Amino acid sequence: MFSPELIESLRQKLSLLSPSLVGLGFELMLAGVGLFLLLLDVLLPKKPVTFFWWVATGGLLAAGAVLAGAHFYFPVEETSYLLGKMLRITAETLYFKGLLGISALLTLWMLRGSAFFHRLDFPAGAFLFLFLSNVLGLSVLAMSAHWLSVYFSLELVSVSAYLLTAFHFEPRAGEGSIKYLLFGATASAVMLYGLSFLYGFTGTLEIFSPTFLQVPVSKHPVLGLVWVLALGGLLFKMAAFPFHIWAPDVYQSAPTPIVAFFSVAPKVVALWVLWQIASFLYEIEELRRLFSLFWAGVALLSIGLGNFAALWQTHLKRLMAYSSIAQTGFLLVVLVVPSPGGFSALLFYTTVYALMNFGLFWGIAKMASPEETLDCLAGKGREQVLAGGVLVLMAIALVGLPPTAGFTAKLLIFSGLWEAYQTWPHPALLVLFIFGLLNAAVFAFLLSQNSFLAFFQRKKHQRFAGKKYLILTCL
Amino acid sequence: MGTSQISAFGWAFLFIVGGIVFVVLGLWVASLLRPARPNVEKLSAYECGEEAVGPAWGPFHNRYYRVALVFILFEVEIVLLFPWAVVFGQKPLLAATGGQWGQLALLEMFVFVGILALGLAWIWAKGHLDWVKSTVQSPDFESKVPRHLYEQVNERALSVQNKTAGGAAVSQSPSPTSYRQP
Repeated sequence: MFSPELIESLRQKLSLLSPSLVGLGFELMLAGVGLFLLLLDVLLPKKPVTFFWWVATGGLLAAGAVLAGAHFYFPVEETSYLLGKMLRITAETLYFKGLLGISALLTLWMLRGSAFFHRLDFPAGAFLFLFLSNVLGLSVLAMSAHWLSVYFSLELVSVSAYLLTAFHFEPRAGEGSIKYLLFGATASAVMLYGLSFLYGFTGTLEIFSPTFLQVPVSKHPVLGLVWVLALGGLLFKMAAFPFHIWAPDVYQSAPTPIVAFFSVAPKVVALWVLWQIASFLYEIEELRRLFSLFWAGVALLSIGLGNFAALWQTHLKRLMAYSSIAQTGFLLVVLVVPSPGGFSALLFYTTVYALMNFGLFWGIAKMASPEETLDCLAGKGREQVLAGGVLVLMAIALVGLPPTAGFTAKLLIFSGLWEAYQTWPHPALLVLFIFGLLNAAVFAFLLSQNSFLAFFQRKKHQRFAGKKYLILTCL
Repeated sequence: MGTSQISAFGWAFLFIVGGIVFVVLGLWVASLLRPARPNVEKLSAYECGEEAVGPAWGPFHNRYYRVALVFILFEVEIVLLFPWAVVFGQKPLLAATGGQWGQLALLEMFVFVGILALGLAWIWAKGHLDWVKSTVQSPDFESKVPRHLYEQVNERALSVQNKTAGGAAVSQSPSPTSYRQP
């Protein structure tokens, strides 16, 4: 009644299972700690918030130790597949998972110091459970080698993110959360639609299957749309141009440590997945040209829209949302030229970006008053020199001014782009190059405005709205 | 199904056709057998025993969604458990894998059900399953009219009703003319 092939494949899958479980140690630990937190929340509901915090942090540290152990278990030069062809582990994947773990730890540390977390009736068990689920989803996403595992891990990330957005329990928070949910549901539907087309063309969903190279995109460029649909879910998580609309509301309403995490971890991990897909597709010359142009376009529009929309913001976290859309654009520039040099630029930029963003949000969390408008920073830098100093330093780094690592990161990216332009002089690349550099100037103004406010402006001074228009006309 | 010439979707199609035939056949036979005596109440839309009043776009209490979500979770669990129960103990599979298959399937299902059970325990402990109970307030009004007077009125009303309805089929629904002592 069962065919011999079926039984043979079953036996094979079972034999692959136990090595896979070793590779999934980090994820299993995270899931276990998350469920343990829920159990504690049921059994010991009266325990203080710090108790749950310590369980979560301890669990994360233990999972990190397991992750570090995986470095020894999986040889650096080899690619190992887990659970059939669902997931794959390379040395780079382990690096990105490490970066994810560090971001999660920094978020927990920021949580420890935030006022909302220590409110009397705060449901810490549920909150930390959702947070660890988010980390778990991102970690699986980083390893995905199958479109279904991309889709499922994105859903896990999204659902926990919708809920994490609402944890201020105000009407505003609910609004941000519902908007996030609606846009997210649409994006994931769009992604599924694209995936169904890809499956129809190729008969497989394994991302790195060579049949994907034979989708006749170069003959019928409209088929590129199928790819755009399929990548939509990842672009949504990165808040890149056509899928960016949710960012301002979510950033404004979510708790600041969570915003810091949202602005780093999903972007970095999604970028890593996109990088893998891009460098795989770029083996075919025509696909390379087509996708280079696509990424150049998305990067250009994200940078432009993010920066210019940010100029009009008066709310601190909305401003950060738009600036993070622009940062997504800068990150996507890497995808225009996937080369080994481009990869080191990617590694460097994402690492520096993660640290810069956490520094910046830490400064904001320390200095801003609850209403979180730009004005509330006025003069605060003089009172809190450390937080103000970090804020200014990170702002300088995010802009990419010379003494900081941010400068090196931007230099790497744009020099890579310049080299690509010289081998393939397409005007779009030049436009992206020039526009990107010019926008760095807008960005510089934006963030220097923050710093200026923090240190040099007396409280309730006249806002320098006029200066914005001056800069705009200069451009 | 190895020897049949029906494709995988063919089987699903057969089930769809079977389902439609079953329902239509049942309704048709019932329509042959049943007496047909419609009245206003029988013809009104059936809405889970509730009287359908007002538009369907009214606001619902969000507790309703919570309970509905939990219900759907467990319904989906059943949908997964059923095919699992069919394949999990198959002797040829167990024999071919040295029992590993059964152990794995059992363990997986325990994990799955365990997570759902934990979720149920959490939502229960946090009070999300508590329904708002309506409190019955008995009126503290004392009628000065003695009880037998009320009964006399009711009897008179009932006899009038019986005469008008022909005596045989008395409507058992609460008639507007029956009075009860408060």
